Amino acid sequence: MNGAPLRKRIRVRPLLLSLLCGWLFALQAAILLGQGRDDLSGTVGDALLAQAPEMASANAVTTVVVSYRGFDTLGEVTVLFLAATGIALFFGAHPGGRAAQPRARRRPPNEMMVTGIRLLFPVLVLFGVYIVVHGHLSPGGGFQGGVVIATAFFLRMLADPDFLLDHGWVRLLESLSGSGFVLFGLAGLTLVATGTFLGNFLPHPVAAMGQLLSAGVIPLIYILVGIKVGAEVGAIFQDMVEQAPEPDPKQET
Amino acid sequence: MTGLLAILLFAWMIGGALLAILQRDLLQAVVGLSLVSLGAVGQFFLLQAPDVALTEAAIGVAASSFVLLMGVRQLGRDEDSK
Repeated sequence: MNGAPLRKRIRVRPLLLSLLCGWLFALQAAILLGQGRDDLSGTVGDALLAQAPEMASANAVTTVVVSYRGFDTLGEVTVLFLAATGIALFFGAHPGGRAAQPRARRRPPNEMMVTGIRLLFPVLVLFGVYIVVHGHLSPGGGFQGGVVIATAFFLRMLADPDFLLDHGWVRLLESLSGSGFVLFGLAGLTLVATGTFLGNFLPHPVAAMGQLLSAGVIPLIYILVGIKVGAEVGAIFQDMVEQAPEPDPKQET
Repeated sequence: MTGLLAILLFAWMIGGALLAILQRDLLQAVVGLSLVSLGAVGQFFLLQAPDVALTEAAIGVAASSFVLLMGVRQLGRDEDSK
């Protein structure tokens, strides 16, 4: 590895990269323009809506997100997991024992915020659990409810400097629910009755539509997604709170 | 009625965006961004997409504002101080 080929390589690489980007952009534009002419998206939506009642989930959006496009949801959850891991690496990379006692030095939060959050915390957690559990009946579901629960815990962290989520428990919850999601998908794949990844292998009679115990496997998967999203977003919040330095410039918050 | 509400929400969102851009105090700028997301929640609801509205409310209004507030907390409130 002498100097000249290295310089050459550095000059060639951006050229190749920009060529690749241009090609991808042209491909994307061609596909988009071609689709726009045929009005494909409208027919797909109508077909999904017409097919949705077979899953007996009152909320058609949930049927699409968890059942028909369940594989995409698995990918989204994985992306969120990668983001949480990256943020933990980024914010946890301080040398020495800076993470040991960073939160105790902070000025105590004011009384109004502590009292308000003490009042708000159980209501927020209950609301988040409601959104997660009723994901197949009403708008919302695992993602939204999980973020609401994580927000409640974040407010709790702000109000009480000694409150910390146990990293071990968060990681355990996250990996258990993630593996549960994949196991449900594989069970749907292996059982003869469904034969597809994330197939709805539990009984889901259309007569029970609108009840809490309906739609077979969909609410179970959405509860797992809720636990996973809540744990990941909570871990992100905690990493950021732990990093906050002593409060010399700030006025409140 | 729906159109009037939509126009009001557009005005609300543009006002929030202007607040976020023009305000020198970074804490108020974050509040402006949060107002934009709140207007987007109303727009999604008017477009009969309550699922998306709920997601926007949880992530756009609450979570992303909290993340930005953490940044403001570390860097200081004044835009010129850095």
